[in-house]
Amino acid sequence: MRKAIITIALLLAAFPIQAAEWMPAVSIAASYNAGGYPDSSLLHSSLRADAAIDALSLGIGNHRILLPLRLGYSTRSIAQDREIKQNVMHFGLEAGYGYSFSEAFSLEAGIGIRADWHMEGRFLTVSYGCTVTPWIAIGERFRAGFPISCYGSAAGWNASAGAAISLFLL
Amino acid sequence: MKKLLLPLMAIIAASCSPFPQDGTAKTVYVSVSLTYEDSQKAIPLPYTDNDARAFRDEMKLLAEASGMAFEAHEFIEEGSHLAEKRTKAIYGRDSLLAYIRRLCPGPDDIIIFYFSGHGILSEGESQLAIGPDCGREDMLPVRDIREALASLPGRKCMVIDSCQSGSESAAAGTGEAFGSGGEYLGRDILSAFCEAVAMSFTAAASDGVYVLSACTARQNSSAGASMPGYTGSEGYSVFTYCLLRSLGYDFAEQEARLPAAGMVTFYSLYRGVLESIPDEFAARQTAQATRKPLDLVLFSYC
Repeated sequence: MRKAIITIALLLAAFPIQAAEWMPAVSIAASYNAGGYPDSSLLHSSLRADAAIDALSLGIGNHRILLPLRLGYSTRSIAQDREIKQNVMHFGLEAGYGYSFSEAFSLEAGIGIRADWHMEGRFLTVSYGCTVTPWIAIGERFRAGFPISCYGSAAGWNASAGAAISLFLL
Repeated sequence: MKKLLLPLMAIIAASCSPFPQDGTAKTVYVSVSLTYEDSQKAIPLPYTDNDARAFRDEMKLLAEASGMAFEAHEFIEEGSHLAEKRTKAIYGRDSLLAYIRRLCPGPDDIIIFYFSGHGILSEGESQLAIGPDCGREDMLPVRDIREALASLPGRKCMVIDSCQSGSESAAAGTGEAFGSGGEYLGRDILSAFCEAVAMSFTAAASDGVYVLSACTARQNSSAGASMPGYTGSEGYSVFTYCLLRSLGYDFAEQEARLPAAGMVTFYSLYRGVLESIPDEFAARQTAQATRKPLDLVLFSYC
């Protein structure tokens, strides 16, 4: 334990903070969402919209540290076998890392926690998971991406894939 | 042209429903209502007959509009016993549970259990008084009915209109806060989050039965209240009245009506009660519903 703390402290000391660049960004995404739930053998799919605010993002060379706050909404599913997924509002926080392979292409990945407010039942569930997004630069400040996320807990799991557009604010 | 139009109309009609509308699916409706008129111990509840009749009529109309057959099993008070309405056969705690277990629904059927009467919280669980004297042998735990329903095929929904009825409707993740007297105080988002985190690690043990109850396990269900602007409310319990009102039941004509929305789900019933109940009752009796990520489609029609 002591060795690990010393190693982390040394790594932090060696970290080129002075070279870090604040890179706040916002993004919006539209996705296809699929999920499975306890008591149901069926897959329930819906459309989903997300917005992410990454106000604390730092860039260091080709590296980028991310802390996006995500807000989203997914629609009800079509009823199958008398079951219907509810309208859900998503609130998520992720910690992630991004790497730019070139000026045009970068890849970001993050792990996080997400709270889902089930609008008809009026209750909250929490799940844990990750998001991976390949980004393609469009000009200096815009990027187009294809986020894939997968979250789950004892209350169920869901995965989404879609398209996103991101804007660097500075 | 007619040959083309008729199959097309049939396809459109079928596409409106998420389940079979070919007459093979049915609604199995089981109701237990007692007035306790001959009881020496319990307070009489004269409105339960109105509750049960109006609720049955509304369920029947919804079932028929959804292309489902309607099979009613009604239990009422006869003399000093609970009896099946049609045969007058007398039932007690064990025989009622056995009756429920003997129902033969199919996998596409909906089973709706409705109770209107007295209820108490005893030994940590909600119990329903299914005998006029409300003696120990007359008390039937909601859990036992739930387990009996869970053993059946099909989709199951319980609607419990009694005092202290909410012990089987787990409220985890809602953040609902209640005072020392059981009164509803509001929602606490932090509590909801903590409850949800706790739930995220334990697999939700669920038997597939959706339970909607009139109040929490520590609250009482009101009845016979005259609510301004609510026609005829004094003849019904507050919970059943608000539930039926949200479905569009015509209390002036005492006639079932179809709600405008073409679908009735478990959570639309729950929301209907929450949105219909007047503020002065909302704090005293907070409707409770089983919390599941999936909603149950009870009726769907065009």
